[in-house]
Amino acid sequence: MTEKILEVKNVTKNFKIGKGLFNRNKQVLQAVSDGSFEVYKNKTLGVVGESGCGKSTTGKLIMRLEEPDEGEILFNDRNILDLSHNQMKSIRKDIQMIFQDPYASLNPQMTILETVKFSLMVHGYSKSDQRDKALEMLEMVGISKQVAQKYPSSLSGGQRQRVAIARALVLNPQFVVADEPVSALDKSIQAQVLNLLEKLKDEFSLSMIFISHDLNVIEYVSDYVMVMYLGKVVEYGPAEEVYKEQLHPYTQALVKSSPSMTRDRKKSFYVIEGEIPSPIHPPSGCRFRTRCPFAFDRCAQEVPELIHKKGEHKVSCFLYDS
Amino acid sequence: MSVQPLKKENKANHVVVTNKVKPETTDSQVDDNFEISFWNKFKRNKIAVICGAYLILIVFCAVFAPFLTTYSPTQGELASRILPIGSEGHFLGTDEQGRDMWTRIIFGARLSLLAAFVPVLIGTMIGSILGIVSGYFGGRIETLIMRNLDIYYAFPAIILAIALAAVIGSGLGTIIISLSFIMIPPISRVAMSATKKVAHMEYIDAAKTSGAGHVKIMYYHIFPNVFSPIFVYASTLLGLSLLFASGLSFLGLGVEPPIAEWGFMLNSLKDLVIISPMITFTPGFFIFITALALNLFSDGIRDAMQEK
Repeated sequence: MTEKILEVKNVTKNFKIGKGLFNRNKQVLQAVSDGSFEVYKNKTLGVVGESGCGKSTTGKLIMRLEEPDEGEILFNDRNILDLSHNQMKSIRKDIQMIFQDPYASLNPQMTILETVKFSLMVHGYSKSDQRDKALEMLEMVGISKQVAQKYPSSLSGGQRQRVAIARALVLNPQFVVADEPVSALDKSIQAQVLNLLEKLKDEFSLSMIFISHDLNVIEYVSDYVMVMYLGKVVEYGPAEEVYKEQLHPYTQALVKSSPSMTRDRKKSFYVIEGEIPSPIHPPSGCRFRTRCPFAFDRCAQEVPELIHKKGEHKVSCFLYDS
Repeated sequence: MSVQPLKKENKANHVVVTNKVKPETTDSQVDDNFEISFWNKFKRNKIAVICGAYLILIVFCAVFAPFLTTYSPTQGELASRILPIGSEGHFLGTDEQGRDMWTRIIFGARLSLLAAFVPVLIGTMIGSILGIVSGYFGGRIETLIMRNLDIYYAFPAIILAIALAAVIGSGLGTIIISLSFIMIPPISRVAMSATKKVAHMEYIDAAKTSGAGHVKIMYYHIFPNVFSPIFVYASTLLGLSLLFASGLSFLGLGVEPPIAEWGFMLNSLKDLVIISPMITFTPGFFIFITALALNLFSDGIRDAMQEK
């Protein structure tokens, strides 16, 4: 087994909503609860789940854009949650993020070159180094010198996302969190950006967390897959195994409901029953029980733990509890 | 001879068509021409253009006042007191001490315009900083800054000016300082709400993940993106500032005689209103026209900047 680069242990993040001096009924939204997983060196962990399941929050917690309420995040065996702002700065070089919306993730008042140069400036590179490195990086993602002088408003979505990738990689990080990097793009551009990411992943020997709601994309990029539902990790394992045999009823339903090119067009889509419950009042016990076709009494009373089923393949479901 | 140019034109057309297939080139043309499109839009607003021309003219007159008149703004000739408008040598007439009104107006414009612009400038600088800081951090820092500024909101400019005049004495500085205090809260609010919209954008998160400190993020990422709403709003305050400054000066909180300043001229000429009303109206007319021009001009800027 390869070395772990990132280990997340029992991380919980709750958002308090309905803040205010005189607001008595403050509510708590459980974005991520008791999440544990690890990412191995030079491997990609695909995180998949419906919107609002805590995938993006997980990414933000690792970036420390949000502070978790509980738990530990170990990067190269060092708990990054204990680090001060200044200590964090050196770690930030190694952990970078690619954001979801390429239309919101580039400063409209900065040229492409300035955007990429900015992180180099923060880390104290000299002016000429900043320029050279930024241009070199932009070259690698296929952005020419001429385009580098332009503002984001004159770039297409695919170009913008390539700029965002260049910005993330220009500091030569070891680890990248990609938060739905292709979901805002057209299918044809998606492939282009995904191939670029794969190529750069090898060149920079990156480890990655790839967040997406698209199972096809996840299958393409991931070495490991983690399935989340309402802030809980329900299944985790090597991509091949998870795609061959889905253990958790939710994963099974997800795979069945995913559109595919080879599907019989006469059949309608499989739809998971019911609506996703509110994360403010999640169901007791197993969170998926309200929509699960196999739910029984125990599911409402106890919270299932993430247990090893086969080798590295883990699942949190009482169906496999023996 | 006439055939060749036609061929050339065709070639040129062809190039343009192939270029248009690439989305980059067409988009970038729009982007590069932003300043030009701003001027085109501004030019269409004829009233704003006229107001702009008037403002340039009055600033020019104020700056080059000594070269535009042969009279002294402070010393008059007793022989030619209270001459009506259109008199020979004094086309705007003279005041009760025989001083040329045109000279007084263009020298007065210096202080009046200064008293209008400087508070807005100071207010914009301090207000932007306070607004950006409170909008960026939010929470307690925002509450602390904004609730303190609410106090100044409720504070009348005149009371503040009188209190200040009691401490540091009356003068142009008193007017500028007290008006600056009045300008800070509304500009801060505009800066804060603009910042709040920007602070949740992903490029701010991206800057945070690069390890940049708060000051760098505010300077490089927030300020350039909130500058235009602040600028537009501050320009609408110029007319108001001129009226306030003239008002305070009229009350005698500004300059000392015999220095020329529009508001104060209105005060010292008020006794002439029965004998020669047109002379009394002259400084008031300039205050009115200049304030109006500032307002209409800033409206033009706002309209041209908003619709992209």
